[in-house]
Amino acid sequence: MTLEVENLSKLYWTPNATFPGGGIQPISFNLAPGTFFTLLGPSGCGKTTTLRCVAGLEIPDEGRLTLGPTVFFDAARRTNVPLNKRNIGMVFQSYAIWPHMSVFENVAFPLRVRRELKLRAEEVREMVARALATVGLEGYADRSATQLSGGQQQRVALARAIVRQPGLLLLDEPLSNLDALLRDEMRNELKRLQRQIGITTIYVTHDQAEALEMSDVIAVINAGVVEQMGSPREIYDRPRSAFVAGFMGATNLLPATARSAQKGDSSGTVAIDSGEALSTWFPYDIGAGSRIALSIRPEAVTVAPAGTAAPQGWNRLTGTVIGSGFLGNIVRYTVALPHGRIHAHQPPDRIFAEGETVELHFAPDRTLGLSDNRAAA
Amino acid sequence: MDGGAYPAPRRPAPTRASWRGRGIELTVPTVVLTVIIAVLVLPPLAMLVRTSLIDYSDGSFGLVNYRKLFAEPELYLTTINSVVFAAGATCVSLLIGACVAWIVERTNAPFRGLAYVTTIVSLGTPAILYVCGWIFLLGRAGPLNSAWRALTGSFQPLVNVYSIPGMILIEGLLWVPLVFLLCGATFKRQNADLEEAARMSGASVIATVRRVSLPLAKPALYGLAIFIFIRNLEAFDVPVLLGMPGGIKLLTSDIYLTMTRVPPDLGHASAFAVVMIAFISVLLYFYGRVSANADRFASITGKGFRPRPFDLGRFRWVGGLVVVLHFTLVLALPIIAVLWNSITPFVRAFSVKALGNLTLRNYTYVLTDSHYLHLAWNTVLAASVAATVAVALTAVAAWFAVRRWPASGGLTQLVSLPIVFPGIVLGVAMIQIALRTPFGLYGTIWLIAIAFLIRYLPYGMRYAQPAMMQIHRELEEAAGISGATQPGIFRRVVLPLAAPALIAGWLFIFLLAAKELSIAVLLAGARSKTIAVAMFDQWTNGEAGEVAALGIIWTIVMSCCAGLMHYLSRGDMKSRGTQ
Repeated sequence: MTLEVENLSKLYWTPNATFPGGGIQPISFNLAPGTFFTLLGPSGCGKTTTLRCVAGLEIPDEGRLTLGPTVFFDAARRTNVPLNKRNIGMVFQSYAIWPHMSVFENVAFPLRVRRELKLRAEEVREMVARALATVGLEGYADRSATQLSGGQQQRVALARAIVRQPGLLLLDEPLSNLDALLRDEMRNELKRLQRQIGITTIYVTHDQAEALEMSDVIAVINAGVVEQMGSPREIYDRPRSAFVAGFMGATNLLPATARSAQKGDSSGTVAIDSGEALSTWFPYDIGAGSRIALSIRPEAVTVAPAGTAAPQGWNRLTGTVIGSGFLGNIVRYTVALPHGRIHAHQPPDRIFAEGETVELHFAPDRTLGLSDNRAAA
Repeated sequence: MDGGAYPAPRRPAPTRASWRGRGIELTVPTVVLTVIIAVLVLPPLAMLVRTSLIDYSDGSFGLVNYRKLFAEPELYLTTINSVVFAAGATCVSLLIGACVAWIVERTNAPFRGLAYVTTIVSLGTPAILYVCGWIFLLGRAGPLNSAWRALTGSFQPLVNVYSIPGMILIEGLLWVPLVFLLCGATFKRQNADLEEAARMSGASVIATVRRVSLPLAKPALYGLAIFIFIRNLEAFDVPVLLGMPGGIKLLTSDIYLTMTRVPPDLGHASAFAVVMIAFISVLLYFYGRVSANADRFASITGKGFRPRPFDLGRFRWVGGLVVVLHFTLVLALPIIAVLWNSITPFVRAFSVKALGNLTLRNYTYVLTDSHYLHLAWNTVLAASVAATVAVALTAVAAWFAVRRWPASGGLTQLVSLPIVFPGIVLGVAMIQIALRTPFGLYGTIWLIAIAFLIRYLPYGMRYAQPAMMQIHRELEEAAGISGATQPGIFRRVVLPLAAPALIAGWLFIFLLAAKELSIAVLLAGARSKTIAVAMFDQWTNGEAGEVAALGIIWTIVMSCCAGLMHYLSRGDMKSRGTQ
């Protein structure tokens, strides 16, 4: 079923405040059936608020929310379907496995509390068994929920969320409480399950790697506003703003001011604040005189000994190596410029000493001129 | 895209709705519960104030009773007596209780389990039984004074138990178990890292305790001191059993005297009671401020937190000795005295000669007489009804309050209101209410049950509220998403998770109510006596042997309940509801 979210907003007010203390500005998106949609942002950005509004755990101030033919919420018509009537599956950050029930009872709960389903005992047993099999927990039905490991609890929570075939699956940072190895494993597992069931899914996370690997569509949220929405590749390669570029993986951001207006998908030359002129690619329109930042990914920078010629048309900067870290597959160098510093990832065979003067070369099409609205950047 | 692209946000009208339902669906249950509790809690207070304002000579309203009360110099004497008594007893119980609690919770001294046995059995023992035991031990003909006389040939007793110091000692010992439990909880939660940091910096064990452990526990100890002081001001058993024969009047025994003389002076007693409530309310205000401060110092950490005990090294035996001494003073001595009394045919001192004619007559009498069965039934009925209703009401009230249902703001305060009533004061108020009810409430066991319920509502809340707070919000939200209604969430998720704490709360109230004397002594009719009242009557009639036998049997039964409660409370601490 298609989920339509129209101008949904929810602001939190502390008493006597003249400015909201958090929440979301009007946000809209439509999800085609089966989409894996990720709300990505730093903590406190409003991604969980959005999810809780869709779930019915928060009541939005404004907007409209429909799933297929059902209107969940419409501020204009004052309709609000209570959450227990929405038929949504949700996995909580803490998993929220009821410790006084067995695994079976946990998963059977959504079937038992909905009397109108009129399920017979063997139907319940069958549906629970199917859900447990889907998440790979056959044979765990009689375990006490408290005897399970974190990853198993996670699977129980997932089984409980999908057991009555909900129209929508909500995942609230489900992997944040797992250790790194298990997190990688569950990432693939979740994605596989979502594909297998074909259920529209909203996933909340602050981990950009998770978002990139799992999602069909990502919405990057900052301070209650959607900064950019698009496919993982689009968001990584063509970030709309310096915030998105900085949030989607490591990058170097060199502050600058655009002298003249720039059309989207065009190149130009920009003088950064420290004076050097760099050829830059502009993925989006930039207004004349606006603050921008040049985003250069560390892996796009080549470090070379002083005096080496740069490839034709490439940008070059000179600096001093002030730090290096060996990470196994790469070496991470920190190079000090006259103003600011740049991180560069190099193959492990390129060795520079600390204090050495080096040149940094990078291609113009990997030097992105992005609007910069970060507060104190 | 930045925030400025949108018009300035408009503040929406405040809404009472939440994911739990629309405003009205949530407001109605809270209001209904508030009304039920208000109907229980407010009338006694209103009745006392009203009666205290009636001039019984002509039936007009006025301040006559207060004027008379304040004109009597005796009021000031009783107040001073009460304050001295309460302060002294608080010092005694705090000193012993805190020391033992620290040794048991934070060191590796031997015999630590003995302290728990002492505490559990004490919780089940009616206070009146202790007092009787101590009177026997320290009385004029008791073993201590006879030994003194035999040794010195003097005719003067060594200790006079019917004096303020004697009362302070016995009352102080009575409260040691509670101080031990509450202090123990505080010490248990102290973060051992802070102490180890002090030890690593080079401090000795004593310096660590003095400079780190004690300052950290200070706010909690102050709060506890005020709490015990209030309880001692309200004390009834010791003032009546020891103070009255010794001619020492305290506030509570004075109220009891004005109510039991013929004709009872209701106006005077009510004015007295109102003054006492005002006094206690002031103390409670300070208690609230101190306890709020105590949270600031709480050094509790989250999961997997185990305090590590101090190694006392060569001085382990000193710690063990303190624990054994505590056991002897608080439990063994008085119980042995009572046991002795229960198997001797008449009150007599310990002697080898008396061993010849020991008898179980008192036990057979108590166990076969249907009168005692009736008493036990009355006590269990009143205590269990009060405990059940109190736990049921406070469980729902705590859930509403903790989850901030609309209109639940005042619920906690309302439930906690009866804490200002000393037992005897509540008794005075309930008599007046019973006299005005058209149906025959007066003299029935139900009147006592209702009074117990009112008095112990705050205790129920103290168990229910933390239990609700421990339940992770998402456990309820997950049930809601799964399709459960609010009553369904309460029944299927909240109640089972809070059950251990609620059962422990039930047992705690049951134990307190089963040995409560001060309320029941005024309210009991001929057919509605409880065990504690019967023991009081028998004691004043001089039937010490039967009191002792009855007390021993009752103590054994109640200690089992107390043991169960302790077991459940411990299990609750490793709560399953928190993740």
